[in-house]
Amino acid sequence: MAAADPNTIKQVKTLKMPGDLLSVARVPGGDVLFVGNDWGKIYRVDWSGDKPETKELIGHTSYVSGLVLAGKHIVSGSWDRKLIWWDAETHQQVRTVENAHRKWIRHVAVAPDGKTVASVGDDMVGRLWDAVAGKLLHELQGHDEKTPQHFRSKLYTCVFSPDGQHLATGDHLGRILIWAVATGKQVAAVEAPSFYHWDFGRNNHSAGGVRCLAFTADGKRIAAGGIENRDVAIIQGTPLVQVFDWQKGQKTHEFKVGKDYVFESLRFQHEGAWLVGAGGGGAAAPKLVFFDLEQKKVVVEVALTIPLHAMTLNETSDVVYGAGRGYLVRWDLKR
Amino acid sequence: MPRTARHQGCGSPEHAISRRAFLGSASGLLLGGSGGLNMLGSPLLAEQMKRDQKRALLIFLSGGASQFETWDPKPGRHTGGPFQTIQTSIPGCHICELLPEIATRVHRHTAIIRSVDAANTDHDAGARVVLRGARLGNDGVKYPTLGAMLARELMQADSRVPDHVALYTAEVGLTINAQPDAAGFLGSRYDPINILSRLAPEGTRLPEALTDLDHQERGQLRDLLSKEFLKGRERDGTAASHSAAYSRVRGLMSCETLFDISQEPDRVRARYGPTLFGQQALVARRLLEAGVPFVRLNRGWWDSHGENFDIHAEMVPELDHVMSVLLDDLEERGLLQNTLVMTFSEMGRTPDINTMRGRDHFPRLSATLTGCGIRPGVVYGKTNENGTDIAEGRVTVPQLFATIFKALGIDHQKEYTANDGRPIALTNAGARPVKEVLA
Repeated sequence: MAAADPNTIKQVKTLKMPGDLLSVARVPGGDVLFVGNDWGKIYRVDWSGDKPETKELIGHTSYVSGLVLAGKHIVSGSWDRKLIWWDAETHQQVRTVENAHRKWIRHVAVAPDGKTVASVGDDMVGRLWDAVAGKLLHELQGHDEKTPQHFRSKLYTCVFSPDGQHLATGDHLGRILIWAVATGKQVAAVEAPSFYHWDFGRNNHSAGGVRCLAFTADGKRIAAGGIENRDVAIIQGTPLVQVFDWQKGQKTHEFKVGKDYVFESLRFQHEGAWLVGAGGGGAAAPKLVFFDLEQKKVVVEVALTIPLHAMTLNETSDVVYGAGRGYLVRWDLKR
Repeated sequence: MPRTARHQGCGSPEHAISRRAFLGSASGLLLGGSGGLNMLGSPLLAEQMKRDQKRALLIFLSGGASQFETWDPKPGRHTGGPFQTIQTSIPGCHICELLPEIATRVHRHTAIIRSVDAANTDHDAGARVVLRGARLGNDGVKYPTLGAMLARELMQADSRVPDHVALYTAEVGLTINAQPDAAGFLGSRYDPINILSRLAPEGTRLPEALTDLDHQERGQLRDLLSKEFLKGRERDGTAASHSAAYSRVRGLMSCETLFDISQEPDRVRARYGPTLFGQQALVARRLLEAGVPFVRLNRGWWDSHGENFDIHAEMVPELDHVMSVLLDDLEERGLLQNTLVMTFSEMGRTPDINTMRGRDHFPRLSATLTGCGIRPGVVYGKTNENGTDIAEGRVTVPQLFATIFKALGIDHQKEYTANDGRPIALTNAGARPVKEVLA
């Protein structure tokens, strides 16, 4: 079957939601999503009928920055440092790990088999959890706690490889570490310094960071998204996606698209036909951008009216869901 | 210009002699002594200075630090942002979790004011408001800033240390969106020595081709010519100011080592930390200890229209640590009881969080006053539950100034005479100190 064609993309649904939507997870096989927002709320959204149905899940007290569906559970992570396991059917809390991280949890990912959950936070540690029992499996320590200028760093994102054997984590300095999931050992490091900007003279603070990651379908390369920042007071700079052969530590692709927004989410088409990046906040209107790695070109750019902070695809990659400022958006692609 | 009573330390002749002896010794060390300037080398001198002279330090959070992410958090509100709060050592008072070190100290010497109304949301204009007591100079008067007024009021007549030093971490705030101090009609003596992105002023060393004797002789010649020139021009503020500035050059040069933090023990330098702001804070402490009456530490740039929370996550912990260490150090040296440490910005930041997860400009802000003349452990004023406005205890900038002057024992209603002969009070008419925060 041919891959869905990004050139046919069409926005088909929008749903106004409370707050800024920061995380999204989709229930396989339908149009049911869970989204987390900046008010500490999680919403189950059944978008399958004519009239969307929403249900609120209350448990966090700060930004819900990570949300995944792991088997029968929803696992959410927040800047309140908590990881919460929820029953995906009853929406009751099954388990809460208070202080799962010593600082703010920035992202949560789930392995393709649903058996392992990863979380990253500004304590600069990645953690691997048994998705069923909630047991801590490994602590992944290797990201520097401080920047070279002696300020606290940030650990923004993580993603599992398609075969589930590796986890990639990306930090404020543009450092991407690859970990063996089975052992918790670091197996590779990729340097992407373009994502970090230290402004000594003008503002005397930093900006940037690897904000999102995605493995290629064969797991051999890793794509990183963010911005090459110019002004740290407002988000000004060049939205940036770089792709690396992580085993060799070599950059294979670089895309700079538009200006003044940050790529906050990346997803590969499930067979690797294309990569899509969602633009988040910035001084200019963000974009949804499709990349062809083989041709090393941008396929299509879609202007967004809201910044998107999270994005996911359906199983066949012909539906794109974006979660952003006050809205959930669905786009369809044709084959 | 009416004569006004100034703080002259204890005012005793011994004090003046001691200061000269101290500075002479500093100069001697600079010009060939070994071992560096150890201002605590004479315990008697140090103790005397600590006991008597009042000083002021402004930690100006240039660019507009967020009150929500510092002193006035709103947890659980839509305007509150992601951070949690922590209980401080003042019962019932919570501040942002980014300030854990300060949280354990606020009861000792600090008052928090959560209701300052700058009535302005522009960097330049806001700075003119909060640094000049809401006097914008639209009437043609060049009003002095708070720092210049405090330098004048707290300076010692025979002092050879600078009266006014401002250390900037970032170019924005000094040369871009300019917010520097200025002496205005008080004359250039009270203008700051501005130090940008470094620890010491440039140009305080003699050129290699010029000997110290040559320099002294040139100075004497200049003094002679200046005195002749000033005859009949005694009311010419510009000429007098120009002459005064030259006469202080050698004093400033003799103070070069005050800016040299390598004179401090390793453990002290380590305590302040490796960042520029930390190192500048250590310079500030050395200057205050040596008798500089007003120092401004300008930590910028807090303007966080984008990614407000990431910016504050980076900058507030540094403020927390450096401010805590500085207060402890001043206290341990017996200086804090006579030193007023102030923190505020030219504005606050909006309750609304914009599409860049930033906060924009907002006229309400928080301030802290610590040390000299302050009633510790006070939280004054209140914003409403979402922080969208002041609910209780609005403090105008003239009121804030009156409070600062009062804390330092300065009559805020006394008058200067501007160049055109107009009487100008230290604060606008009707400004009253906030007595609740005063000891």
